[in-house]
Amino acid sequence: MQSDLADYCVDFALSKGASYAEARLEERDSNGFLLKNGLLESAGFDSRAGIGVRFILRNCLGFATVNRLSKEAVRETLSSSLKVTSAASRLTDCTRLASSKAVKAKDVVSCSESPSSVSAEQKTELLSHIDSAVLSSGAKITSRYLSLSDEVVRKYYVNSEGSKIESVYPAIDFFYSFTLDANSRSGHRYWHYGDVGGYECFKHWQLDKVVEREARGLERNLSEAKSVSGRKFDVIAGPEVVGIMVHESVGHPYEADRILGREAAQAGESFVNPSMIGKRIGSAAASVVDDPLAKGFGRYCFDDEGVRAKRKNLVTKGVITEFLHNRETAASLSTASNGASRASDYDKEAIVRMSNTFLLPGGYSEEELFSEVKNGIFIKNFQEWNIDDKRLNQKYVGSEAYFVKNGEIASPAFQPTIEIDTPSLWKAVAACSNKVELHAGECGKGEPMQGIRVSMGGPHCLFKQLRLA
Amino acid sequence: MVDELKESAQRLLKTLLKKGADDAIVHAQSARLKQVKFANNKIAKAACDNSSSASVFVAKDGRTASTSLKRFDVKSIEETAQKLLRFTSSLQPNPSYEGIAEGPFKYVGIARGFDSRVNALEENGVDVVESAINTALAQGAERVAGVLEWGVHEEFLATSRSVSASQKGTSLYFSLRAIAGEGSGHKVTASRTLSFFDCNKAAGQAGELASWSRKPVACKAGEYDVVFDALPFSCLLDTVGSSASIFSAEAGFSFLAGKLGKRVASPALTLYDDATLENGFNSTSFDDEGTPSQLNLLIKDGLLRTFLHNHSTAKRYKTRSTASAGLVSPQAWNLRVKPGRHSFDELLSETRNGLYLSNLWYTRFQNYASGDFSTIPRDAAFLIKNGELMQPVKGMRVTENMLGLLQRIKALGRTCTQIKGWEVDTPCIAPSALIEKVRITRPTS
Repeated sequence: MQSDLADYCVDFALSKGASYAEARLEERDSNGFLLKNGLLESAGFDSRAGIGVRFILRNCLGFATVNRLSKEAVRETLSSSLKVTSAASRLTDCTRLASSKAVKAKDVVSCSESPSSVSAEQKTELLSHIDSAVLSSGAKITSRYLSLSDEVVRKYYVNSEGSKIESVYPAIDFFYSFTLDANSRSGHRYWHYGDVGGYECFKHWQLDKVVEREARGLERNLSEAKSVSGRKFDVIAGPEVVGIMVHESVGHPYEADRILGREAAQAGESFVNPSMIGKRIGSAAASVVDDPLAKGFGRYCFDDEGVRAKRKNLVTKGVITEFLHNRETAASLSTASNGASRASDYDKEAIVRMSNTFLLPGGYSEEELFSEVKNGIFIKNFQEWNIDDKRLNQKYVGSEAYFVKNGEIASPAFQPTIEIDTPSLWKAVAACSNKVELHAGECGKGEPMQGIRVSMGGPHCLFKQLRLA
Repeated sequence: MVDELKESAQRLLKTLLKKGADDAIVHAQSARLKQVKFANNKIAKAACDNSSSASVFVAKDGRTASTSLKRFDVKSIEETAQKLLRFTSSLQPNPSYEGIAEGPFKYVGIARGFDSRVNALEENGVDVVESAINTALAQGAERVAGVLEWGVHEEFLATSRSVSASQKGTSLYFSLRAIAGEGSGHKVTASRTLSFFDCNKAAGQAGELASWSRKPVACKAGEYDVVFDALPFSCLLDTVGSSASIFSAEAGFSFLAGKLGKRVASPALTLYDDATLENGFNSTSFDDEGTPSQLNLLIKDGLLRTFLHNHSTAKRYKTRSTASAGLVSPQAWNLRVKPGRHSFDELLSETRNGLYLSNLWYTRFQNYASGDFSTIPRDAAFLIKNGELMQPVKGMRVTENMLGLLQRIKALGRTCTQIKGWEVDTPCIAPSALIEKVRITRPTS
């Protein structure tokens, strides 16, 4: 990597009057394959590299990015950026960064089956095998769409306070979608698998079995499911559903940049305010963490401001205990950054993001959890969901779902829908199973939009008496 | 266009053909973009991005693949060509591939697609933001946040089928959300030239909406006739545009699949995809394989008239390209609605018991193929009683089927606005729309 060029950017910004500067040099090597209805419609590889330089000039935050990696090109871009930032400084509050210890480190994720060790033929065979599994479900499949991509990201981060961090992160990303017809109804299943690492993750995922089972489950649901409309039930949500709940209504509203209004225009704000630390938001059975050190799609050891990553305890036994911070929000709220600053690419500003967000496990086995339910609903997975921009009004529509009778999974339930406000949801948590499962996702935030790798999940979770639509 | 980039693209094309490619496309692009982001009435960040790249597509022996060029020296070009062809040979054949457009073509430039004043905006962008913030505050906003973006882009396209095309353009985008009490208003404006770019107008309107909606009450669930302003109507139309791609239809991501020639909307809706539009944010002289851009009639009086095709998909469906390449997935450029005959006040006056929505967000589908979805009204929303805007409301959700919703369009406004935004990927030139019997739900606990 041209780490000397990143060092040069920092020196150049300082020489032009910046009080702080950092540079993030990134190189990405990727491969992508797309199978539609059994045919390989797209395949390719890509290499991209670029540098993003963030600086504070006259108290104003500036950000310059360029993908021509020469001193001349970065000088030209930085000079232009410094000019606009200087002009903007008359309309800015004083940008402050919370202090952070300088770090010199190398962070390399190893994998047993690196993206470059698996041939294009093997990757397309992998897709074809999973595609065949969808068909072997026997369901009346009307469309299939599968995509696979891999990437190795090499980063060099340097700042004017002495931090220098090199990292290498491989990652695998798999998306699938199929539609099917049954009983004059149509159904759609689409989901995402991803992990930091290499192709060894496919052994754990067993996606051929997953898609075949899901196609059968959806077909049965369309054929036999009955409506649950308008009644109250005890609800067991599977880890996939719990994951989206914690991501949307705990992770996002605890992002300190939302709380402080910096993302108000697009990603929105939050119903949470700084004085709510210590306030009860859920039952004592609900504890939620964001942990970049956990093994998941959102894994990292140092954030994009060079701050060492750590677990964040967002909700502890139902009480709000911590927000997600970068150095700027931490300074505003007189605390230290907890390492939540991330950018999706060299040309995007690092902002406050989640990593691996999940509900902590409880003491129940899954069997014991189900035995607590006399007359309820089990929502195994979902498709449609959304939440308002303050993160209070949310909706999750079940896809594969079942009635639960006397602790046993019974007949299918048709699209049970939870439409609820955030405190009511988390106060309804009665118990959790003892095994956490994480699911991969891409989280959108920022303008320009940044889709970033995260995971979300939890154990099976029992919610008492939710009204379902 | 950076001359080096253009030369490199031509050199790469020649190298690929020399090494045995049957078809090849090299698409070189460079862009200089600036952004000023503001929040809490202050500038939060000033950003500058300079980028250049070349994407490459190749077909050989019925196999297709793509890559991009990272470095532009002779050695890198040679290596990239060699690696791409080797990679292509290792793939399964792509039976759905039917070739690329056969040139040469003549192109027409985009009227008002380039404005040299945009390139010179530089530090004056800060003045534009300051003026807009002050305008919103003067209209009653307490806090504002948003972005101003401006830039210049150039591109050059060369293909093995005698295409050689280049163009340059400018772009301007402004988004401002104003907040007052519990109320908020959001407006956007997008243009290719400064002449049609009025940030103060957008800011003033957002400030007014925020001020008017500062004390919303809970909205009851039920069925309402809804006046969607141009911004939320564009959020809905964006999903129509993506559903109109033949790729989406084949992949299971389209509620229009199987409905060619059939009714998909009320007779009030006529929708075009217009890449030739004067000052159109995404207007282009040519698509990604060099076919000259054109006006496509997607929906006429509620009937679906065409899907969007590139050369290859058109051949498979025995029709003509709509100049919509995307080589893998055909795409819409600018969605444009044929305006209706109503003023905004007349749309309101048509509504006895209804809602006015100024924005939507988080549109998600349970089933893309059937069109079952929900979306969340955001920012100012008001009850309408007997044609008058009444109290502001909050806490509701549109829970609907997209085809059903489109078929209940009762009337359209006569004034269209160019909309681009977070939830509007494809720019829309849209009016306000009155849609009947819209299902509104809300949290039940």
